[in-house]
Amino acid sequence: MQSNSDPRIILPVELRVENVAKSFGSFVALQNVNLTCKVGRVTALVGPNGAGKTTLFHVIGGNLVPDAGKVFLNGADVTGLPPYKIARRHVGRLFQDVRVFPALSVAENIEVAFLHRSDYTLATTLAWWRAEARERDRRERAMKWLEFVGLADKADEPAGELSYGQQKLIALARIVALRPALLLLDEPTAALSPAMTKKMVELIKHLVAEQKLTTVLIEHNMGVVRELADYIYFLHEGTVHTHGSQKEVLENPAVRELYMGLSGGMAI
Amino acid sequence: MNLFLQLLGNGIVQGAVAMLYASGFGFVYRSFRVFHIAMGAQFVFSCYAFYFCAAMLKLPLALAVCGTLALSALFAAAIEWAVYRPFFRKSCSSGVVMIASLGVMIVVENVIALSFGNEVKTISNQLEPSVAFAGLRFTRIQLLQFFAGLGVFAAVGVLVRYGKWFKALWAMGDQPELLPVLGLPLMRLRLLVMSLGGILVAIAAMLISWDIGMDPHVGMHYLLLGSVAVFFGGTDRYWAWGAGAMLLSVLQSLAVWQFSARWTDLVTFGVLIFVLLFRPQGLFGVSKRLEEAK
Amino acid sequence: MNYLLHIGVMLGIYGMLALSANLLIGFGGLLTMAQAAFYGLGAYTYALLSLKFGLPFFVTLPAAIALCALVGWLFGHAALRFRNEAFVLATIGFQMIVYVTLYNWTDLTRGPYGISGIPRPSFFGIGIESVPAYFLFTLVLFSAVLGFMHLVCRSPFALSLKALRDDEAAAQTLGICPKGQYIRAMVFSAAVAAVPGVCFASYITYIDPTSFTLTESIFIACILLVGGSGNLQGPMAGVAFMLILPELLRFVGLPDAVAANMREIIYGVLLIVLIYMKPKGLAGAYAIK
Repeated sequence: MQSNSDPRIILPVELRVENVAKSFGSFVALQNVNLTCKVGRVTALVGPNGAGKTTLFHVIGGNLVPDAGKVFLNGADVTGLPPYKIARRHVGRLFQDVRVFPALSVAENIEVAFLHRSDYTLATTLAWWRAEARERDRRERAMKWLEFVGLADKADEPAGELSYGQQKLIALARIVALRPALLLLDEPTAALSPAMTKKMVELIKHLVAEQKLTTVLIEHNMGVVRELADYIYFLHEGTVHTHGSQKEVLENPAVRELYMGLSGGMAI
Repeated sequence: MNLFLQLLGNGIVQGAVAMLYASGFGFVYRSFRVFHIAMGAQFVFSCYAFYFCAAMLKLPLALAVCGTLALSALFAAAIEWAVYRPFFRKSCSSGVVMIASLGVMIVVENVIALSFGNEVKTISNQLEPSVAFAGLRFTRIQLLQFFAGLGVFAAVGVLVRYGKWFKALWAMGDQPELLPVLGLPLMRLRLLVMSLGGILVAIAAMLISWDIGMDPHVGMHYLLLGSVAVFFGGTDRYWAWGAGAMLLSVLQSLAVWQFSARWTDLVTFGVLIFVLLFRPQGLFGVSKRLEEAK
Repeated sequence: MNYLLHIGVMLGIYGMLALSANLLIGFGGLLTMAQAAFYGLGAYTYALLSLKFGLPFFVTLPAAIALCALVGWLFGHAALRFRNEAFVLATIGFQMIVYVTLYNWTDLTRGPYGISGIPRPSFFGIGIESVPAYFLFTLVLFSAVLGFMHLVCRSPFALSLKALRDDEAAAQTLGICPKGQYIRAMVFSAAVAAVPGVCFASYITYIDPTSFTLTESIFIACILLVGGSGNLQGPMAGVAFMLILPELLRFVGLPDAVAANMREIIYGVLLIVLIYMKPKGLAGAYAIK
C-alpha cells in the first residue's frame, strides 16, 4: 500500500476494443465496434441516445459479456472478466447515475478505494493495536482527495444527504483515489448546473494533465467535448459511424445531420 | 404396486388443492412483486373463518362456505388497505414490504391462537366414507378436493386468459407506473388481485381443513409449499404455478413411497435448492432478460 | 435471584446469536433466515462430541465453531450468488433441510427425543454447575464474542461489506469482489453462531430439534429488524427488548400461554410499524432496503 506522497509510476494503459457485438434478443445494441484509445489520450464517445455508448462501457467494464469481439488492456484480453477484476487492473469507472454509498460518510466513500485484499485477513482484523494507525492513514489520504474536489468540509456527513452535483464529485474522487490508469467516464456532467459542469471539467483536465490518464468519455454536452477530447468516436445505432479529430468528426456534415436531426437542436 | 398407485393418487389429490393456494401466492407475487408471506395468514384466517361459520355458528354448509369466502375476501382487502398500499405509496422496496408481510403473518397467527386456542380443531367429526375410484380408495372429501381444485384452477385460468382486466395484472408486476398512464385503475386492480388470491387460498383452506382440521400455526407450512411450487413451476405463467404445485405434490408422494412421510419436507426444500441453483426461472419459465446491467 | 440470572444467561445466548446474524443482515444487507440452523449445528456438535467421546470443552468448542464455519462456507458458495428475496428463500431452504435432518436422522441425533445428559463444561476439574457460575461463564463467552465483533465492526472488512451493501456495482468498480466478501461474512456469521449453541446445550443439558426451527431463525432476524443492525447497539437493543418484554408481560399477570401470544403480537405489530416509520429499528445504523 503506497501513501499519497509517493507518485506511483502508473503503467500507461491502452484500451483496444475489437469487433464487439452485443444483442438483447432481437435488439442489436452493438455491432462491429472497433475502438482504440491511445495512452494519455482523451477519447470522447458521442452519439444520439440509444446508440450503444453505455452498453459499450458495460462491455469494457465487465458488466456485460459481448456476443462477439474482444477487449484488450495493453494487449491483454480482458473480455468477460467480472467488474471487480477489471477494476483491479487499474480501470476507474464512473456511472451515468451517481452511485455513492449513501449510508457511509463522504470520507468513508473515498476510503473504500484504499481497501486491499490483504486487509481482510483474520490477523489484520484482530490486530487492534495497528487498526488506529491504519484508520488515520486512510482518513488522511481520503481527505487529500476530498480537498482536491472541494468537499473536505463535508467529510463526516452521510453521502446520501449531499446534492446530486456533490455526489458526482464524490464519485469522481473515489475513482481517482483508486489510482487508475484508464478512466471510463459515463456522462460526467449530466444534470449538473453550469457552475458544477465547469468545475467537473476543470478537475478532469487537471487529472488528465497531471497523470496522463487514458480517458474515455461519454458526453452529450458538446462544449465539454470540445474542451477535453483529443479524439472522437461517433456512434450511431450500435456501430462506429465516424472517428477522428474534433475537426474531422464535429464538422462532418453527415454527423451533424444525424446528430442534430435526431437530438433536435443540440448545439454542436 | 397398489401402494404406489394409492400414494400417487393421494399426491395428485393434494396437488389439485395445492394448485389453488400456490396461485393465491403467485398472483400477489407476480403483480405486486412482493414475497407474499401474509398468504400464510390468509390461509389460517380462512380455516378459522370456516370453523367459525360451520362449527360455531353451525350454519348450513353452503352458507358457511359463502361466509368464509366473503370474510376471506374482506380480510385480503384489509391487508391491502392497511399494509401493502401504504408501503406502495411510499415506494418502499420489495424487501421492506416482505418484512411487513411477515409482521402480518405473526400477528394474525397469534391473534387466532389467542382467540381459539392452540389445539387442533376439526370441522366435521364424522368418519368420511371412502369410495372406490379407478381401483383405488379415496374419501369423499378427497374426490371433492380433486375436482374442486382442478375446476377452480381451470375456471380462473379462463378468466386470466380472456378476462379484460387480467392482462393488466402482468403489466402491474412489470411496470406499475404505466397503468394510470394507460387509464387503468391501479388501486382497484390491486384490490382485485388481493381478493382473488384470498378467495383461492380460502377455497384451498376449506378443502384442507374439512379433511384434516386446523391449528393456528399451519399458515407457514402452506406458505412455504405454495411459494416453492410457484418458483418450481416458473413465476411468470399462471398454468406453470399449477404444474409446479402438482409436480411437487407428486414428488412428495413418491418420497413417501420410497422413504417415509418424515422426509417430505426434505423433498420440498431439496426441490427449492435445485431450482435456485440449476433452473432459477422455474421448470416452465423463460430465461430472464438482462433487465438492468449492473 | 436464580431467575434473574437465568434471564441473564438467555440474554447472553441471544446476544451472541444477534451479533452473529448482524454481520450478514446489518453489514452485508443479506436477510438470513438460517441462523438457527448454525445455532443448532453448534449445539448438536457439542452435545455429540462431549457425550459420545467425552472430549473436553476446549476441544468441543473449537470443533463446533470449525464445523459451523465449514458448513457456512459450503452453503455460502451455493447461496451467495443470490440477493434479496432469492437469498432469503435459499436460507429458508437450508434452514428447513438442516431441521428435517436433525429431526429425522435419528441414528445420529435421536430425532425428536433429543439428546439429554449433556455434560456441563469443566476446567481443571472444576465444573460449572450452579446457575450463578453459569451466568459468569456465559458472560465471559459473551464478552469474548462482543469484543471480537467490536473489532470486526471497525475493520476494513466491515467497510467493504457496507460498501457492497449500499451499492454492489459501485463497490465492484473499486475492486471489491462481492462473492468473496459475502462468503467470508457467512463463514464468520456461522462460526460465531456456534458459540451460543454450545452455551445453550451445556446450560440446559438437553437439546432437541424444536429449539432450532425456522420460527427461531425468524425470531433472530426480528431481533435485528426491531432493534436495528449495522452497529453494536442495535442488536443489543433488540435482544433486550425482545427478551425482557415477555418477562414484563408475565409480571403484569398474564398467564404464560397468553403472554407468549401477546409477545408475538406486539413484535409483529412493531415490525410493521418500525419498518414503515423507522427502518433503522430502535438503535440501528442500517435501514433495510
